Amino acid sequence: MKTRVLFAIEALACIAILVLFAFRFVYVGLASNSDEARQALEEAEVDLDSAFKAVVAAERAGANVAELLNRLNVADGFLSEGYVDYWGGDYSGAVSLAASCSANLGGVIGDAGVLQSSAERAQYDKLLSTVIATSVGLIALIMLSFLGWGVLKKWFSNRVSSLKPLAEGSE
Amino acid sequence: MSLADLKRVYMVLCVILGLVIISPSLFAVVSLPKGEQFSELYILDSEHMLNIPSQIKPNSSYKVYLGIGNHMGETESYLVYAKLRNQTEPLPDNIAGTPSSLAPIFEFRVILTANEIWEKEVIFSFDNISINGNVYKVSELSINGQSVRVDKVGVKNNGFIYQLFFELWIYNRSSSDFEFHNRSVGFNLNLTET
Repeated sequence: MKTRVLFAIEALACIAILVLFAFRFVYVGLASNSDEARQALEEAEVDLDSAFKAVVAAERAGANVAELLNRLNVADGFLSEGYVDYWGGDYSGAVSLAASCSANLGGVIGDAGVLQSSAERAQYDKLLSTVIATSVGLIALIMLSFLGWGVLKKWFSNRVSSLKPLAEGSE
Repeated sequence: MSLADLKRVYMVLCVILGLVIISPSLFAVVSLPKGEQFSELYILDSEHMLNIPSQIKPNSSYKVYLGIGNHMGETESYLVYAKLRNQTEPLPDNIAGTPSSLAPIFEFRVILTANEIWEKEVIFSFDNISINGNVYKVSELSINGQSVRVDKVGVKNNGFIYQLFFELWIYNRSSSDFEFHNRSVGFNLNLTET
């Protein structure tokens, strides 16, 4: 009888200790999910920031970045939903959406760089041809203006000369 | 007209022609001022009018349109926080340019090119409401199908019970973070029991 009672007490004590440990591990599990979700969202946000800056730089250089902007907006949407899930306590959903955000950004920075280089080259070529055309035009204008002045001066002199006999005749 | 006058007129015409020839190069180098830069944030009802719902029945869905217009002269990244307040909680301070200290319950993000307008349907409903006299408690608010736990207490008196408002934040490339853009819109809500 005594042995049975002792056994029961020992069993209860073991179960109590196990339950306490279980709570401890569950608490740690939940906290790490929240931290993981937060970290995943922050990393996705950093990826999105970098991609956005690269796309804007390409756009400023004159590149057509419409397709890249669409991809950024899709990634943006995932990140928004991820934060809403995070605030709602759905940490696994948040992590999944953060991963989707980053996945959508794959290759955007590289593509933006290529577009930016092409656009900068095209801008340079356009500027060079504009400057050359302007220079040629100015030189032509200067030469033609001297020529034109010579013709105009001669015409004016002839006109004045043809009017002079009329004026002398009237005197 | 004397020869000197003719020469003067001829020189002026040559200078004007010279400016016309040089103008493409000038425009390639000189950037003209952009004009006033601003962003717009607005809410319209389901018919794209200004009759925003104010009398809300529990567990019924209502639709409004949230809109952003980018007039900043270049592509911008925007973030809109949706927040819910009762009469005692703070609004954004438009004079100081600071957002409300309330935590957001929902958010929208969008990247817009210059002069682009964006609109999004916002379908919301108030769920799990308990009413005790003139004290209301909303446990959940559903926005676009996603349930958000709010646990917000409001008191019915002469004004509104709750206000759902939206703050516009814009991405700052220097700080690599979003900052409050000093734009907010919202609408007052009174809950009816049936």
